[in-house]
Amino acid sequence: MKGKIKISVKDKFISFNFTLERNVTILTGDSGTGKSTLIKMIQNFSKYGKSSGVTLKCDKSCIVLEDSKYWETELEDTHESVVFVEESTPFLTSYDFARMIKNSDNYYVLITREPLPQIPYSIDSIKQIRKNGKKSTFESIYKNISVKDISDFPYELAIIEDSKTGFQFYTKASEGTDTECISSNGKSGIVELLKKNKNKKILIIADSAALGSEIRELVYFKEKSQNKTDFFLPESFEWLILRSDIFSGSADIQEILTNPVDYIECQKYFSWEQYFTMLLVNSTKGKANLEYPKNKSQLPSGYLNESNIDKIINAMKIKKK
Amino acid sequence: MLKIFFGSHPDEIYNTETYYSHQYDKNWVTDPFAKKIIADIDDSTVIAPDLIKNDIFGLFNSNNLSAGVKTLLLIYNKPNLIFNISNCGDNCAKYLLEIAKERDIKVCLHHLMNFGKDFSFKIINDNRRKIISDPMEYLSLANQYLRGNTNEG
Repeated sequence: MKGKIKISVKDKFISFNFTLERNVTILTGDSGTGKSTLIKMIQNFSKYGKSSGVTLKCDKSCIVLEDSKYWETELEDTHESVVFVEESTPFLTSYDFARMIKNSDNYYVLITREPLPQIPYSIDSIKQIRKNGKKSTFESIYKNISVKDISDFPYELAIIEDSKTGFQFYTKASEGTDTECISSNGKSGIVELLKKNKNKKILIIADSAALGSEIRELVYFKEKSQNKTDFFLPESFEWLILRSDIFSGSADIQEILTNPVDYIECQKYFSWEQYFTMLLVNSTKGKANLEYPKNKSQLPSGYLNESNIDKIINAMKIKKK
Repeated sequence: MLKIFFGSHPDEIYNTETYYSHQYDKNWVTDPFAKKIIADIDDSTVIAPDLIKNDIFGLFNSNNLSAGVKTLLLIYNKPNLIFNISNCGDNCAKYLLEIAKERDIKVCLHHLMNFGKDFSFKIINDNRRKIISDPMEYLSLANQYLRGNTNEG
């Protein structure tokens, strides 16, 4: 399944209108915003249809996956649908559930405050309900938290989630500045490094495509460390390269970047990060010094010359339509 | 004192909504503390035992309160049980601290709840007893215990 999915749910009292732009949406936030109400309405429509008194408009089937002995069978039998899971459903935090959804062709809306580190999801997927009288919609919680310009590296320390090509790039890009680059060897190591360096001015560089489970802790750290921390969170390092002026002449790539959701088949690419890696690998095949390795072990020298470093590091600043 | 256990506890009531629906008392909502949290969190007014009103739904019973308010009412009225406060949003945090001023409560937490600037509570994993009031120490312990947890529902 791919593409944006619009959903409208309403009854006599309240309406919810929202669009899903990725395969996983985490619905969280304050109590009393209507999350459980939304679930009950979808549940009733799914069981009783129009006779429930709920109107639900969506091109795909919408179901609420409830806790029962048979949830795995039910999920196996569900295809091309939007699956909602209510908070406190015990299987939601299990590795079995994570494994199953990674190979499915459904979209998911998971209501929870738990971080779910076993599921790679984007910080853009984390939503809360915004109420406006009787009309409610979804809004992103972590919108615009990334700085766009880091070219001067005005930091004492850059913590880079990646340990391979991304780390090699940012280390080279910050040469000649006062910024020391260290790798956290994955997203789960970032908080530990922050704790050890809490008095420094820090830049955290990570892929927003899979940082969803960590972002709450990182934002909490930033809030409590009196804003001495900045985030640089491109979708992924490969996305940043594709967005840079190195590829501005490729109409196909620019078209994909304008609306990735229309191209990314969720069953094949659970995280957009995987898709952009594939796109960069395929787009650079046979190109001298730019052929991007699938295993991301060594960044080709073509990305490390001054001109291309400049193009990549400034790619977040480029305004796309 | 608020005593927080990070992760799953053998005596935890994880699904507080289900527990509430089978165990709530109709008079709970008429207590002044209950009226206050229902007004603030759910933007609703208590009319009578088990009867609440707001501008959107009109009259409804307390089974239709938010999961956060139900969890707070359970903690307030059954302080000897261990409830999952990850069913509560950050807008419930100050009320958890308020309840804990009057009595000892033990809760389970599965995420990093934001308790604001001023807080003090104990993290009781591994029989810890120290009172925590430093946000960085709280973050560090949350990271230690929640990320070390297998999270196998």
